[in-house]
Amino acid sequence: MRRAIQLFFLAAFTFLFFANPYSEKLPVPADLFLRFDPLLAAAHVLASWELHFNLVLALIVIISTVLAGRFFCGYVCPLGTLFDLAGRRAPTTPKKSRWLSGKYYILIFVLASSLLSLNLAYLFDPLAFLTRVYTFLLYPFTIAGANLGLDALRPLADYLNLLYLSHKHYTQPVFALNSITVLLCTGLFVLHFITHRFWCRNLCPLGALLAFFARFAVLKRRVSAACTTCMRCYRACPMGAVEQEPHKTSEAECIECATCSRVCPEDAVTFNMLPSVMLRSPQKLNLSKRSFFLSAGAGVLAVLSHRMDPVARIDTGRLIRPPGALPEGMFLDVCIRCGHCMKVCPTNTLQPCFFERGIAGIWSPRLVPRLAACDQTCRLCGTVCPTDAIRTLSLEEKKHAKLGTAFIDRNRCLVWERNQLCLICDEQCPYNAIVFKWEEGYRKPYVVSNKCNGCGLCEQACPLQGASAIQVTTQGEIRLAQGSYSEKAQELQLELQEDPGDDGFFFTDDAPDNKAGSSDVPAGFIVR
Amino acid sequence: MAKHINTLQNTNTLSLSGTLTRRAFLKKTAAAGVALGVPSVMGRSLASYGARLPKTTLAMVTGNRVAATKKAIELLGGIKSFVSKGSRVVVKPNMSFPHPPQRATNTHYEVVATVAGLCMEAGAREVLVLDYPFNRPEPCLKLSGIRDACAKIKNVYTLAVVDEKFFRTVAVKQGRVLQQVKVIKDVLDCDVLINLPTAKSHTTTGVSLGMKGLMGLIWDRKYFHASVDINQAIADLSSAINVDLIVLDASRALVNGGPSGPGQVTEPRTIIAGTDPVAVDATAVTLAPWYGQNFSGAMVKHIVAAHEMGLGTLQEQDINMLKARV
Repeated sequence: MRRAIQLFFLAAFTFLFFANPYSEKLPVPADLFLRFDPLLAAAHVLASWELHFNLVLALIVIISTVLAGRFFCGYVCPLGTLFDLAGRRAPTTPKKSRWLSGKYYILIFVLASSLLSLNLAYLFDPLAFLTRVYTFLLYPFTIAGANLGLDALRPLADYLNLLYLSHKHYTQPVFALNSITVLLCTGLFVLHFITHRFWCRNLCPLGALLAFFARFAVLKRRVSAACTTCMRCYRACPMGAVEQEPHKTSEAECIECATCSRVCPEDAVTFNMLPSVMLRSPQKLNLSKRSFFLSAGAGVLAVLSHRMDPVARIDTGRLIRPPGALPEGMFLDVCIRCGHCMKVCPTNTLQPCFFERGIAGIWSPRLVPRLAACDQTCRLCGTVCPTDAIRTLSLEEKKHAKLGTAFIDRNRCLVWERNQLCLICDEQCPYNAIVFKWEEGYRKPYVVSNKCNGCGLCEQACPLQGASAIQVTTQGEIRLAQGSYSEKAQELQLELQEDPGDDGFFFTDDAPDNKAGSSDVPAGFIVR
Repeated sequence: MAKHINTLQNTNTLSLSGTLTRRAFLKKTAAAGVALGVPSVMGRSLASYGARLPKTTLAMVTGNRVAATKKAIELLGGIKSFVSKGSRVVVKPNMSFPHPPQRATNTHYEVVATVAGLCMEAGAREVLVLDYPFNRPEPCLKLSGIRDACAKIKNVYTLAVVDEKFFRTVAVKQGRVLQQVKVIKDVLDCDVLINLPTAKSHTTTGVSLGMKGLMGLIWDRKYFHASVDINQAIADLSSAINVDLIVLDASRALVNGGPSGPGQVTEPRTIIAGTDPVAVDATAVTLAPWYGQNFSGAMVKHIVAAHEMGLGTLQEQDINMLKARV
């Protein structure tokens, strides 16, 4: 029964993940699990000092925990389920783990730094972590596997003349930081094989948060007098929650899985609801005042050292955020690095940051226009963001959420530098932001900055080897915490309408004096 | 008028040979054309024989695009002169852009579906409507309307070819700047290749018509833009890809802002069909003013380059133009 519930939630989590390019058709948001996550909600609220609807959902989980204990860890959490499915390689540690309090330290560390507006919850939150594992590992590997399968099937498909099948190919998504995710993931499972659910017992800050409330739970493990102290429950408990006197339970650790009840030869272990226990004072957390302040202090130190990182002052102009991303400070507070936006991005331009913004920015999404541009018919990243770090925008609004402005590097541009006939950037630009002026007898491209929304199509398409000769920088980006992008764009006199008129083939006020008789002949035509 | 009758007779002669395989038929007709000194629709084949170019026949039909497409092909002797029973046909429209039809950046879906339908009626085994869109393929196939329009016809497959494994390198024997090029395998292996370009302006090549449209069949387009003279490369490419029929959709023309637009869209309401890639493109150039100016085919660099390679005729007097209005 428990396994069935676990599998259901794991399947739901996985389904929502893979279904999410089409999430606009889904009845529930693709990031449903993350929206219910109390740790993410708490850190978000502390870091941004703003209430968010997810807090209500998170409260549902907290209230249920007060009623039924850490059932979330035992039944819902897909990472816990994966640990259970991985099985038990290690003999149960009869000794009480010395690391149990680790998760509280991490929790306090996270909440303390959040309070000073450095949200690090994403680093440790199991749901955010697992979503990243899905995005950066499972998803690309699934596509690679599917393509290998299709390649293997292709001769047969050709033979049977199944043309759609024989031409089927999925574009391989690519992500930076793959190896780090592999290392972290491997590390957690290695620990799991040393101590069962090592992560859940000792490290998970979400588990710690739930453990805090689980102590008040009404649903409790009880052991009747039939107990013969055979210690089977003690050895079988996946969380080490059964005390050495097996009728006692460490209530903060118990995930209500009832393994103890199943293994008991005397049927002495039961789980039942007794509202009266609420009156009793809860069990103490395994936490000293000293370590509380130490971990809170570590959180403060993390914030201070982050503020001393020069990245906060260096603006390379190349850290381009997704369209509709909140202003940078808020964005970093609110983004939980789940990777959903990078997963849905159909062009794969959204990539995880490394240390471009210091510790606060790792795994946050950025555009890499040389890899791919922002599709002007897509607004998916905003629709799947569980914390609205990327706002949900209509296509029209999204178009005006200017990402930056393209600049031409004249020293490298084929046209500027070599007078070569190349105008791919203009060909690609959806807003006619690239125009031509005559310079010493040649037509040279210029960017009209108020027509450029930084989509990056030009940068992606530039045929130059290596870095593009036209690059998007964050110059002029529009980042709004609230309000309309279209209105802001209008205020800034941007012209991002796909205006169907003549694109002003030349700047008219800059028309050449026409002495060669060639000045107004467009490229590709022969001068007479 | 006399000219017209002359061609009709010619057309009748052609349709008698329906039982031959298409290629054999084309060669024979071409040879016969030379022997008898009558105008031939086979300008392209003759060019490759190195003979003096005879008149090439083009059909230029104005009116409703579906009727005009049908009429234009009919004027050239009907689809059966090109598609024989059981053949695999590749139809290459421009469907590179995730834009609706009114943007005039893709070939109009009605023209594509009409030609695909004609091929199936002529007994083709299957029709592959394919392109290598440089935008994300799904929205291109969808928004262009081509996939939905073709889905209604049995055995017509609309495919976006987006991975290098579907391409194969071929030598460009006559190439002046290209020695080899990677082309979609289906195009190299099919029985009949029909090019269905749309009429557009182009920031680099002036216009994008039939020959420029063939760049949608190759893997490395950046090479054309960055490493060689693109105008000559387009001509070279045309010499390497054997197109059997061109049906150029000038029902609309994107006269500036091309190839991706947005730009001004005019309505020449014309379909041009032919087998001579140079003549088709050169004629299409005259249908609309590009960037507000009137040009002829002889003023477009890549068309001239193709002409100089002997790929087709440019002179108006060498073109036997069958005009109709529907």
